[in-house]
Amino acid sequence: MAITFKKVSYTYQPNTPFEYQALNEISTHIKDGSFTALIGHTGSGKSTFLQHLNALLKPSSGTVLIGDSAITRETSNKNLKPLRKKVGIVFQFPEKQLFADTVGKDIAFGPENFGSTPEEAHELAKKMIKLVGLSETLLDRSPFELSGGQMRRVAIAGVLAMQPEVLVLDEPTAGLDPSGRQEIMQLFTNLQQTQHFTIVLVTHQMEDVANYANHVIVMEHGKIVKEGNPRAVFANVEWLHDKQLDVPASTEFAFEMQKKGFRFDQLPLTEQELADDIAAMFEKRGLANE
Amino acid sequence: MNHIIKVSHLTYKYSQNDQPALNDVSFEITDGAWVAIVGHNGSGKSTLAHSLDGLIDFKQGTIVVDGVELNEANVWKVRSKIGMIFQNPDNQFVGATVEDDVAFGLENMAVPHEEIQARVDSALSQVQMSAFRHKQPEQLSGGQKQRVALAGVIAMQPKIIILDEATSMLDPIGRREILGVIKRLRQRLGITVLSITHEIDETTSADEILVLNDGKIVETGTPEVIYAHSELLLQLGLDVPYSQRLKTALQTRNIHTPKTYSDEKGMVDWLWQSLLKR
Amino acid sequence: MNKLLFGRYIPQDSFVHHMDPRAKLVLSFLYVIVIFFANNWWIYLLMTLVAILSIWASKINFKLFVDGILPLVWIIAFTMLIQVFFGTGGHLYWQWGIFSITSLGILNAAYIFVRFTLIILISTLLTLSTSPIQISDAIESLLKPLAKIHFPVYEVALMLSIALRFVPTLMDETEAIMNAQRARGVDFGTGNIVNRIKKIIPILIPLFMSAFNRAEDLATAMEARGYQGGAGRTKYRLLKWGTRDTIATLIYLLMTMIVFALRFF
Repeated sequence: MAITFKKVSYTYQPNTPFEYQALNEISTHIKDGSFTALIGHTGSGKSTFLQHLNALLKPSSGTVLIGDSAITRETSNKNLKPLRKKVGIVFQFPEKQLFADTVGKDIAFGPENFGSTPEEAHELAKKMIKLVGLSETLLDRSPFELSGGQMRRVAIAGVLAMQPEVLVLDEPTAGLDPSGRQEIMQLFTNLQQTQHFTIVLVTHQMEDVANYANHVIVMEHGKIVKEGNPRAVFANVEWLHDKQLDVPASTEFAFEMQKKGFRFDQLPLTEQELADDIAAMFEKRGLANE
Repeated sequence: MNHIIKVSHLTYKYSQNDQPALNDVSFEITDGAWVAIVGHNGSGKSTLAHSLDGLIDFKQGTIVVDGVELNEANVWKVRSKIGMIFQNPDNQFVGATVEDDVAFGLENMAVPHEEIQARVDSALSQVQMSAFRHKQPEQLSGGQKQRVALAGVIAMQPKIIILDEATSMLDPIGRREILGVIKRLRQRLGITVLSITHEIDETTSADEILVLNDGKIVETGTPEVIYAHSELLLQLGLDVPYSQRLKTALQTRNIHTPKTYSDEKGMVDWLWQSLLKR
Repeated sequence: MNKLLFGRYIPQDSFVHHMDPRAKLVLSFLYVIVIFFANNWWIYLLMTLVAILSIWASKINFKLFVDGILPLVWIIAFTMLIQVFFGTGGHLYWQWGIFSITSLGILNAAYIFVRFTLIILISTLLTLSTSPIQISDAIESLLKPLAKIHFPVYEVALMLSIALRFVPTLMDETEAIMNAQRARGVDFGTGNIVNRIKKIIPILIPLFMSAFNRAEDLATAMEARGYQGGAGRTKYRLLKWGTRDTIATLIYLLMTMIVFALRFF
């Protein structure tokens, strides 16, 4: 499912001394089946943007098109529920939303709210807990007895159980250790390839952007300041440094090499690309298997 | 060399039947050193940090901090030598404003009012938060809150700072700010730093790295030595520094790389030497 | 984001902001007590003038005070209506069963309106011009004599200041949890009363879990920073009584004397 922003602005607490404009005439298009990465600093408007993706917030002005439904300032709150089923959001530290006395009930909570029978919801819970790599035996345990990493997976399963078409991920790996991070990202890429999700990922991990995304949105002060595929966005390393944003380690490395006089046709994004480039340089010099 | 922390045979279990969170851990930390303890989540590294400050009541083993053995009678004395920064920026902010929070520890130490004032001023300027002194915690970013926590600690003039995953909830900017402040503090005050983390990138400035797994120290050495053992780090669920990863990728392409560890800058220099120089 | 406006501190550089919070607290109490002695328009006029003077001296936009009153409009209206329909005395305009409208009833309703409004204005002025920590400092200082009878003044003050410090944190958290549950299909504000109560559970339980975790972390952090109870601690914040406070106190005392003079003589 595609989502389109047309000149969307959002202001918190309008007409008070605390008035704050978080989004300023944002226009963009998130294609069906795409993997979009949203990057920018804390306070750049990312989380306000996210909350427009499933109409948790309605624009102060402008229109958000979620599939075929247009959301504007005037949209009634009554018709939003079907949209929320289609766009699942995994919020930052999602384990904080767990509340039920068993893991199974917590995962079934979403589907039941959207009209599944308890039996259907239970079946979904069984399916989803396996999907996120946990054992079915955990379904009857209390979510609060689990480890932090397990709780995170249960919360993700709870969102997947809604069977959304768009999956929004707000720093899903924050606080996890390296192997936990890798497993979670692997889970999402598998899902996208097998189930054709549209994914929107908010992250500070530029490696993940380089490895998984095909569309990147850079936000600053409530505006989109750059947009395109990862190669285009990461091509201008100086511009990103200027904005205090990171680039993938390989791009950074190649950038340092450039300063020393090396030439690249285009800056590599991953270590495999960089290693290929360097190997080609060695070959050119006839040093390959010395 | 003078050892400011000595841990011998420390063992700790959260409950009778559990696997021990710490299993016969012994090590020493040299006065003025920066030591990093790395391990994946659940490896026992936070338990270790809490034990050093007497926040966990361990039954087996001994901990000696700056010549004082940690026990019930000495616990406050030991705590006065150690400043701890914890993981969650919100949950260690006690004061209503930045300056109140920095003053909190000094009030506990019964420092006279005028001196509190001076120490708060100097601590805030050392972490570059003077402009924020009247701000409330909800007006600060995570990185700024952690800098305030750091100011609260240095105001108490401890000999040792323990960073218990202090950067794990921060964005990259916040993380860089904290590490930058720590580096500067060490230069100025020569303070001993013990940083506990699962981010290998944060151990590059350390003098020594202890690798913890399942409550045991499995490897000790300088960053160069530890980083060169990529397989071990990966096996323990940790990251490998970028330059080392690149080196591995080059080796699979039949390129001979230097045997010893070098950081990114070193790698670029090596490439320049071998490809452009002649 | 915190949407609650009523009772939020607005930093300013003003006469009122720089006053000792103890003076502000005590004078606000005095004002509220005195207003219950008001029984004629001259007194109300005087007290309105004092309220306006105080608000002017705070440099806070008057619109904020109106915003503070608006949510309470229904309570005021309800109390006024009761006075109008049940008040007795004076000229009788209309009667039906136990209901009656009399001139005294209407007058009392008008008094109540003014009284309510003034009380809200003065208490809003206190909270808009005094940060929570200052209020808690003032309470601690005013309660200090109770320490002699072993009342844990320091502990209570610290509890109060920590509670106040965590209000915005927990409000943000509540909103984050509500958003997460709304995204999982919860429709807050629809359904019958039983359903509505059921919907609070997915908010309350995560909120409690998080509050407990925070409390535990905070206790550890406080211990690590040498907190061993209130005894023997020194204070970073010292309250200072200044000329401003004396001036304000004199104005309020003068007002009190005039009110009593108008009322009793």
